[in-house]
Amino acid sequence: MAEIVFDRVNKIYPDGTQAIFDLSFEVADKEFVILVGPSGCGKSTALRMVAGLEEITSGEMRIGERVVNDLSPKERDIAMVFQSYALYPHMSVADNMGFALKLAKVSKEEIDRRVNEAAEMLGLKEYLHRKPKTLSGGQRQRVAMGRAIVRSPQAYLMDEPLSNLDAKLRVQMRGEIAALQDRLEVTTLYVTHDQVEAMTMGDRVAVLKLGWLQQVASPSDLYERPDNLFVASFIGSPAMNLSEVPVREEGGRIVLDLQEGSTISVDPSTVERYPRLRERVGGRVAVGIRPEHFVQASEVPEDRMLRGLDVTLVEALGAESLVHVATRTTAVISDDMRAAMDDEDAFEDLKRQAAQGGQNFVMRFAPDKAPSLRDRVDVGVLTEKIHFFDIDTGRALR
Amino acid sequence: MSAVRIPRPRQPRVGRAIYRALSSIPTLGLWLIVLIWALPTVGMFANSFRGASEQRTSPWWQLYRDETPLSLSNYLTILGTDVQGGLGQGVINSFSIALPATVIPIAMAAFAAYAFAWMDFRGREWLFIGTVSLLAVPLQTALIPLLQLYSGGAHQTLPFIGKTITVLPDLDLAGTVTAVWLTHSGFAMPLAIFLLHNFISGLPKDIFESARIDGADHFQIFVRLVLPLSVPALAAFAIFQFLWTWNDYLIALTMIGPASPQSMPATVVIASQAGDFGQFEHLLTAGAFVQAFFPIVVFFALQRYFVRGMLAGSVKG
Repeated sequence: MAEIVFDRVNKIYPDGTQAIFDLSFEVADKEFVILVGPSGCGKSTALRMVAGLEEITSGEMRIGERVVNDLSPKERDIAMVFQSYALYPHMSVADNMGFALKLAKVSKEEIDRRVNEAAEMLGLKEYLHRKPKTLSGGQRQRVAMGRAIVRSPQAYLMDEPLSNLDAKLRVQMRGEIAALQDRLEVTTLYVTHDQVEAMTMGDRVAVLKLGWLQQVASPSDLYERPDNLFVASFIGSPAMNLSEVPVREEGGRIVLDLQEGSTISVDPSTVERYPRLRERVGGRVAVGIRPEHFVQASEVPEDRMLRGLDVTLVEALGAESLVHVATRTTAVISDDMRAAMDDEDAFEDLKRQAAQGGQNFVMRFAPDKAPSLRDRVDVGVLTEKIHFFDIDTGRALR
Repeated sequence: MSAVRIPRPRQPRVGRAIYRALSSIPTLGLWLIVLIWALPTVGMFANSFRGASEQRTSPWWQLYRDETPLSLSNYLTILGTDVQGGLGQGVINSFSIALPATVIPIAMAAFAAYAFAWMDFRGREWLFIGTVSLLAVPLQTALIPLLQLYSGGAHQTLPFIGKTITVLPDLDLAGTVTAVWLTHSGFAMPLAIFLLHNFISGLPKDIFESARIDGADHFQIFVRLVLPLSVPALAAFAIFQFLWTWNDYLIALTMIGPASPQSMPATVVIASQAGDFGQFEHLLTAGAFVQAFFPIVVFFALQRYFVRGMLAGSVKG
């Protein structure tokens, strides 16, 4: 069947800007891979190169054993779902879905059969004779999906197909698309900037930053074993709390001076996971702590606590509470952080906090265990779960 | 417990009346303009049913005082063949000029506009700028050279060798309607390409990309997507182009010439029906109405294509 292979693919635009750098990864047959990254990271460009809408400057692109670099979109036998849906406004839903087959000179009966089948699958039966403009956003989205399905192509390419839907519908369609892909077993490459989509939909996730591939892994691997600072900071919502700390050795254990008066000792299992941490004793590293890896102070030993934190905001979400606290830790200010935040204002805010000698941490607590607003609290850190990165290169210290 | 009553804000009735009166002013103003604009036409329409002396001696709003009753005699006279070949033939000639002069440039310009908008080729921008800048060429300067081209062809004597080659053979088009619509078509092209290019380049890019992935080539995209989606622009240009070729006088008179009065369009026929010293000028009112009838029909036939929102629902919400 069909796998999609990027083999050291580069994209340089005529004006000299390079959008993709030596991109190499593979979407296996029947696999659902999500391409994710902040805006301007080249993910759409990569997808459009698979589709044949964008020329490949160098490297090789293969779809199902076939090198497609110089093939037209038509010859590549792929279907694409656009962010804007790109429905043909003057055609009925049925004609929209059957357009590709009609161009391929498939018989009318066969077109009808396949369109009906897809419409059945998507719940579009009673809309087949309607024009796109009479449909709701969700229905249009489904028509766009249907258009891809009827062709039974080698691969589906989806370019942020859900970003024009409202939040509720997006959650619903997220599940539907994932289920549909699972059922149809067609190789799928899906582009999004929404890391929730990335984490929930795909078999594997490829993370891009400014045209460079950062990591390709299953969602859980990506979350639990980020390869670098960028992936660590980009994946996860709320984001991982990152801080620059000096590393010391005390009585055979590695300890971190997280903030003044709060020195925590690193669990031996973490040192095993990050063996190169030992080389950094006496230096500084970036430590990353996920929001859910903070616990009440009573649940951890004395030497794993962050002390004297002021609660500045509590977001009670029902099942959990997100607690924002002001810390006196040193913020990591680097290009990785800037790229991962994908929001110049948020980055400026972080810089401002750093200049004042601290930064906010976000912690996830069960509602009954969450401190209240304006409390001053001590918080425990599950140091068996924390992450370490080199500050300059951003690499995980594995 | 007593229900809490929220006092409803009282509607100021006088204020509302004033507001309504004020907001109807634009509409009233528009109607006034329509009335002023239509008045001469109404007067001409009324006069077209009156005789020569009535038209000359009393204004049209006094037509109820006329001694001779209103009649269709003006219309019968101009449509009959006794005056200058008759307007019937003129109308037919007008059609045989205006129809090709509308259809041909639109058909060609649509292709060109699509190519300029969506096909990548070398020198596309300069070619487009060149085409559009032809809008600046005044028609009148080209009349005589074009007529020479139609009636003699184009020949060039090569320097040094002294040989003459024929670039364009003598097609002997002078005096034919073909010469007229060819000229109209040529001069319509820059504007048609410009207008259609503006419209077609504004069509959403995603649709074309989607069609390419669906397996459509440029020709199929043009025929199946661009043409149906451009109907409003095509119709708008068709109306204007029809209107000004139908109403053209100068080109027809120049290209056809006095030698072939049987080929003259309605405009020229009507003008000549007034007679040498305007002795039949009372016929002009009826002539003008016959002349105006067809553009009005065309306008009403195509006006529904002006409705907006042909693209609604194609992309985004």
